[in-house]
Amino acid sequence: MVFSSLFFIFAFLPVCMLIYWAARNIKAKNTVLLVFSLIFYTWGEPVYVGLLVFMTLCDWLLALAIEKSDGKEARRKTLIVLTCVINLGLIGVFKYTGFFCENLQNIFGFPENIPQIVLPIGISFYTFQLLSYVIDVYRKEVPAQKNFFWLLLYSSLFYQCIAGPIVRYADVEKEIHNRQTNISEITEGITRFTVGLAKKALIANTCGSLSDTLLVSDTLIASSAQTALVELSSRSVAGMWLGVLFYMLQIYLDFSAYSDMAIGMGLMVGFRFKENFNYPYTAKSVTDFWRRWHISLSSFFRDYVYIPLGGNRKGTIKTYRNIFIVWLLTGLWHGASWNFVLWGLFFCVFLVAEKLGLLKILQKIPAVFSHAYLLTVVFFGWILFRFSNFSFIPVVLKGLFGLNGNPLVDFETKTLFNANVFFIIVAILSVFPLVKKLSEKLKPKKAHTPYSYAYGVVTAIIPVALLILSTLSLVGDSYNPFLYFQF
Amino acid sequence: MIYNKPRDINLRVIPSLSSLVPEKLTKRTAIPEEALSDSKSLKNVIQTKPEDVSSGTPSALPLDNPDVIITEKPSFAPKLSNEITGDEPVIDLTELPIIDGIPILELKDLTVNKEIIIPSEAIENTSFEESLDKEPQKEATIPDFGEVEIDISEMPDIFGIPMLELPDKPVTPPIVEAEETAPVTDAIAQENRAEHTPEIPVIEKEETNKPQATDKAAEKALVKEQKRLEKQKAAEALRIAKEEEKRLAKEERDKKRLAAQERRAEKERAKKQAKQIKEKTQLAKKEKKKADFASKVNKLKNKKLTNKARLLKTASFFLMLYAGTILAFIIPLRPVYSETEKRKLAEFPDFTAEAFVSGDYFSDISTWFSDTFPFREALTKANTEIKNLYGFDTIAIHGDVEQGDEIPDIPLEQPPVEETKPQPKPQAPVTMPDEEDLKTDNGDPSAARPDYNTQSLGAIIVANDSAYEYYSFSEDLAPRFINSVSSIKNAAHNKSNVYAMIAPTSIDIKLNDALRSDISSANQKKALDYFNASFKNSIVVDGIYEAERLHRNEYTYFRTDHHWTALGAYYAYEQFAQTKGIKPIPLSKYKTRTFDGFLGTFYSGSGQTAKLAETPDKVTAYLPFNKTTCHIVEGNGNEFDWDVIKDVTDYDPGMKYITFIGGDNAITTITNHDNPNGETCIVIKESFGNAFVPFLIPHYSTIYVIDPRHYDGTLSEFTQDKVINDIILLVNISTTRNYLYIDAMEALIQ
Repeated sequence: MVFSSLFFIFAFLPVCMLIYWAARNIKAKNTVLLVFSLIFYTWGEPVYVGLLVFMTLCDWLLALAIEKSDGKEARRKTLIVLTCVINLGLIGVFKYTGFFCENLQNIFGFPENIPQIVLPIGISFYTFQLLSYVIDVYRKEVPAQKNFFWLLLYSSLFYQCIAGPIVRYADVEKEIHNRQTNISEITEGITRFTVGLAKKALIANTCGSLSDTLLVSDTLIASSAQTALVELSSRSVAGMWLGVLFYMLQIYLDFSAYSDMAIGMGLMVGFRFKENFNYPYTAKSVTDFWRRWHISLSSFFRDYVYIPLGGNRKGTIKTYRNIFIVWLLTGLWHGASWNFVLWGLFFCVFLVAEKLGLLKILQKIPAVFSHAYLLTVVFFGWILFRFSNFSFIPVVLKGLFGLNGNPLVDFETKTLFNANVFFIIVAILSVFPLVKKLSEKLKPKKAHTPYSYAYGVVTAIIPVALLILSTLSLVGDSYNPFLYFQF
Repeated sequence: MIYNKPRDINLRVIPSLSSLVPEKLTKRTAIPEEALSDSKSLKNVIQTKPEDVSSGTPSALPLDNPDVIITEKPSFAPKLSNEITGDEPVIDLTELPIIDGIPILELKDLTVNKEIIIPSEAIENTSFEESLDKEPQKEATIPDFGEVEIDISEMPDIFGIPMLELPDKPVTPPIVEAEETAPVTDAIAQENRAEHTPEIPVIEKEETNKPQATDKAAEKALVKEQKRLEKQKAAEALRIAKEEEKRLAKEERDKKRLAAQERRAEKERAKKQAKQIKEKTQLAKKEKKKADFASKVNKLKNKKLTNKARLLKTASFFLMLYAGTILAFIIPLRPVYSETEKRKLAEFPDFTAEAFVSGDYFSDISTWFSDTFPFREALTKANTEIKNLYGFDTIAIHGDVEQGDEIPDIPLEQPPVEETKPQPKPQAPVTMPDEEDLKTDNGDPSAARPDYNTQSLGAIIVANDSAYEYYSFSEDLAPRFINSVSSIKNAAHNKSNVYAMIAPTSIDIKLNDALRSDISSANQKKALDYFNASFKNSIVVDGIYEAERLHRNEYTYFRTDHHWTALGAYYAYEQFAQTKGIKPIPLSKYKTRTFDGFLGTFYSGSGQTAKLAETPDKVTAYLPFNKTTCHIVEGNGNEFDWDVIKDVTDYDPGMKYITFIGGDNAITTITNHDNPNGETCIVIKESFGNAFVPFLIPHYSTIYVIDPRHYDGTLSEFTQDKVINDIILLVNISTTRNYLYIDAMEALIQ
């Protein structure tokens, strides 16, 4: 089940909210959330929901044991090492075995058969969440949760289990035990949720399909990489640029939309999750970009990898080593494939360069140039991210610069552009905090004026309008006359 | 006067006098209910009679300061109005709005000096009444208390409303500061000085010219006189000196006094200045406080409005959400079949253990939920309308354009020897429905909806009011197709003539050349030449492309559908006739029947784009003039008789093409009773053949129309026991790259 599906919006969520509000006390409310979260997870992963429960159980026991062994340093250390081994081991097995074996095979020739292991959904997210919980208990930053089910609630909460943000236990601990909601929080949640939904259903989905048309679709790559490569190498130059641009927009809007919806739904029940995206495409340097993109992930790596390794306190060489390790892992976390690792290291290079003085230069030159620099770096980064198959990347790069022998613009690209020109403008504008700024400016200063009434009414019905439009778009998505027709 | 604490506030109420300039207060006064009935707090209350109010002069006002003046409510007094008989504003406390049990007195826009009227019922305590009686009646002098100012910012806030509390006991107001004394002016000082200026008496010197005659006596007398004079002088001088001293002393004193006065004057001046400055700042502060309060009130109002807006937002969102949910759960509203997409919509999955374990059960439920969402057709149409706003859609391309392969310049030489394994399918249709879906509605022909088999549509380009389908060449599928066609003759026991006909599609025929040259659709002429040159064992009918080009300005292809019209099929028929060596029947011999409102595959394939809907197609059918029987056998075994040209007036707009021989079926047998001794033929076709077959009727006694996709048998079996003169293969160029059809063909010719 995905947030942007009709089943989630018009079946799962309403029923969940209804039963939630009917629940009288916090215990009942938490139980409702837990049950629904498990249903949500089982919906996508009927077998490996057991893995989620198992990992939570292990971590629950380990955290309690760590807390009990307060004072016995050696024991605590053993326990935390055990936790890391179990958690990382499990995610390693499920996510990285194939990758590992492939590489072994390429180098050594064995193993003969690469085991195909199913990747349970959300494992990257809940593993990290649980790991952060145990480490925080170890660091005595947070007391261990005595109630197993409430820890399970934390790790499986459907708002963030599948697609982030990576929520720290310390941030939600109080709210698990005691939540209050008031009308202003619920309203904020509604706005956030519908904005996220609209971002996904109206903009990101279209960007995705346009990107697939202009580049190649994943289904085509999966069914025949050769054909896909041929198709890709015949794209016009403008088509290639547009295609990567749409992918760049899609991946941001998609990901940030899920975070928006998670935060919005959390607000509706009294959870205040931290922001995960802060308009990353308005950043003016790579350093700034990574403070705005997938904040929960970069802060996880900062707090649990970079700082334990010494951060920047152990000398220059160690600092750069630490940065390197963090970015290696960041890339690897995104997928079990070398292109993701390369993507992480790609950013590592720029970050190091900025640390070495590039950042100062960027801060001195006019903002428009540093912004252009950032967008260019990110643009090319996404090309690395998009294609797991390395043979595609040079084709794209050549195509971008007209070295494939294709025209600048061809008929199909021009037609597609014409048919979507307003949409492109809207999609590009949606990465800037324009709406937020506009609503601040337009806020009425005096009450009980016709303007203030109008403002109130308009802002009140925007979420409903977005909901309706998103529904239309989602119904339309399952419309596929290309795949079926008679005769 | 400034009262800084609530306790200090003395809500003085006296009738206004015209000499007092009232000040406007903009705030609300909350009077705790206890204050109304608590005798203690109303100790110093004067009760006046109504006539006092009307006459404008209170009859009894104490010299010490009452908290509130109570009068009985005069029946004529309107509430909160500025008018009463006379000029006194009157407030009726009983009519005040009560918020949280506290009556709120709003003094907005009212003048300060008000009379608060509290009905005597509010006063319950008798001792209070007694105390009233004990109050001595004082003279009716109206003390002047000057301006009353209330510092609002220091008031406690309850629910955002500043509270003005009446004190428990009266507070004597601070003494009115006297006006500053008149400054000692220089003029007065002058005056004073002048007053005390000592007069310096003019001492005149006595001139004495005394004779020296009288001797000693005279001398003595003279000396005495002189002494006396000297004494006098001395006394005089002394007196003068004393006076001088006195004068000087007085001067000193005066000077001192003056200086003191000056100093005092200075002090007074400075004080006055300071006071002026203080007043100015106080005024400014007052103004600011007013402004602040106004903004606070405004904020409060804004907050109330914001809260209302929030309620509206929340309510409307959840209403819509739950309305949608309820709608979605009304199962009977869910469509089962999509007319525009011509497919059966997803079904609710059956529960099996493996479906559960694999997760398919759940994902199928989600798919079912989305796919059969109520009012799906209307919602998708609305969605398309919105998507049309994304840009200019003068020309739109729907679907992914395939590049395809290069068309070989030389024909295929010989059939390839190797077994070709299933080639990758660039246009991948989804799984073929199984036998279950091949049912029609209980064999009722009139309700027959060919619900089977699928063919994928290539990318569609919509230009103005017409749509066209892209074509691309597949170098993997082409040889398979060619080989199948070349094997027909053999499969039919070499008893028949095989005619190979491939029809072009509208994109290369009807689309204007300028636009066509921009489009990367494969060159159909080149492809046709390649196929025609490569076919073996067949008589190729190769003038079709040219014939269609010749007649391209006629209504030979549909605008909203990928098929050709009957007219377009006729021109192909002419070519066939020419190749076969028979005379084609002229079109004029046929009566026609036209069915309006046809919106075909391009309409649904482009998301029901409005442009195409504006100009629907017409299906014109040429009615056979022979006596014919048409017998249909469906793939599932159903058999029934049908019409060669069926009346499709009442059929769905997307289904009009089915007028021709009842659409695609396994075997359609058309018997021409007017030509019992004529030849027989088999037509192996897909849907393009449907419009073509009626024109063959006059030339044959029996026509067997076979669609390989629906017919399970083989050509070999079928032709075993029959005399077949001609076998005509007719497909459109897109079929030559349709792997489903090619698979079916290969199965047929086994």
